Amino acid sequence: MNAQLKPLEADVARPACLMEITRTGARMDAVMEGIMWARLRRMRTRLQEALGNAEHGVIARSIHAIYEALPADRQARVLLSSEFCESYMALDAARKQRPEAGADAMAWDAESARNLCAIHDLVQREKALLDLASGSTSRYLLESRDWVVDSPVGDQLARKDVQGRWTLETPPMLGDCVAVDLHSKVARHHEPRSGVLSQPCLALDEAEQAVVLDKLSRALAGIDRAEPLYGLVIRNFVRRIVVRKSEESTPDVARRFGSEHVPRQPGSLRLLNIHHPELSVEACMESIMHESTHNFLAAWELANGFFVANDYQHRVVSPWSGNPIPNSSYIHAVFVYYVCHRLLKSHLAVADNIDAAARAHVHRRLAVCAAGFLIEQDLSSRLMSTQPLNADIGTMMDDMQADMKREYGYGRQQ
Amino acid sequence: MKDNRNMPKALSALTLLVIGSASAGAVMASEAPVASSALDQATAIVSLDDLAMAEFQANARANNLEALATGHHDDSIGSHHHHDIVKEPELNVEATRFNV
Repeated sequence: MNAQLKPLEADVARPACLMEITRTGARMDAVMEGIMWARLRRMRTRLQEALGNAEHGVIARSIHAIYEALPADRQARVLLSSEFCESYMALDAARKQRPEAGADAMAWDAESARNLCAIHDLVQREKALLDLASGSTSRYLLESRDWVVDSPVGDQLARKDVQGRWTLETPPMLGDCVAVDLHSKVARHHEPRSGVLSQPCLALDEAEQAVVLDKLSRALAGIDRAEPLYGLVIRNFVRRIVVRKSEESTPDVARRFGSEHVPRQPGSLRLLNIHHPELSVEACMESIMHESTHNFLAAWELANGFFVANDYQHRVVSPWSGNPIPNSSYIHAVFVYYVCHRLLKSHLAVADNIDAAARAHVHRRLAVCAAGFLIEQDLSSRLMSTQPLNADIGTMMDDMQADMKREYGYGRQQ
Repeated sequence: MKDNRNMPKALSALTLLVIGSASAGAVMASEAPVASSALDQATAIVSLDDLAMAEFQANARANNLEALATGHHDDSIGSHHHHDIVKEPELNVEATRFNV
């Protein structure tokens, strides 16, 4: 494997490279590798920018010192974590908003301090886990009032026993490399605007945990079988799957299932109530792929720039949901539905033990995924941006639409 | 649709480095010295005063992309890419409004 040469095989600086996920061709390996390294370098630059701000003082000096004490692979884990991205974005937003905040300037100072401390904390956690792995309990752990301390990417944790001794543990892992987060502070966080994390947070019992892990494992195996490259997209671009249970599996409860990706938390996805036995492996496959595609696109955007400004005032009516959604979500949606359609179609072609109910479910979902593409209007013409867009974006959307119309025999003259 | 399912596939070298450091005995850095060396270069912070972010913003602007992250931290509805895994008749209306 040659990580330096692979990215050179694909021009990953242009949005057009993202079409490889729709083709699952030979260049996809190089595109994934290139996007990941570009994102890593961009995150390093973001940290560098935060540390170089003279106003960040002693905390920035301490972050820098701890970061420099980490080996390169641990530094990469910090930089690629959802937690780091979320904190630097908030720090960046506070820096830009403060000069015009007037009487609210103190609130933005507090936001800067809070997020700088969050970055300090996550760098310390990575260092503490590294030290513990080599037999040393750091001052950070000795002084911690927490009983469990997680790595920023969520794939490792330290637990304190009643004697105050800390030991390393690994959370459940999907495909040997994606953490399934059932219990952490991140998993139990209440987020009012989230469709998943605003729901009640109930504890999964042992049987429900087993159901969740088995279903996720079977879903990933199904994806690996149907489209092996999509299994790699998940393993490369998702480090943490947060699972929220908000309902008991009692017969009289109306079920609510959902999944979510948040742009400020790249590398994470959220699933709601997948412990319910009614939720099929096929539904879980689609959901994981849906959110992983968002993560793939978000990684490119973080490395190269966002497709569009996040303007929540100008919205596009989604041809899939009928909801008015921001341009950024709409562009993502075109990729997501195309990729999910490809996955489900391949699944039907290769799965040998799919039962009638699951087969009917997949056919329904194929129809839903395809429907948004089968409108007469060019998908790119629905974008509501007031700014000029990169030309690749509209071309990619219309190419996917044309491909889907060909597949379903929809001509322009119909 | 071209069938590429039988092509050889491998996990990214960067993913292996990142996940390897947290799993006992799974470090493969010694097997990929080139990747390891690239990692050193990609994560090292050698100067706090360089202009990398300014260059990034200029490049993004030139390509009609948005360099600024402001807004993506915003928690207004639409900042989350949410979808209902299955649309059941009894599904709560409050939940469906998040869908893309």
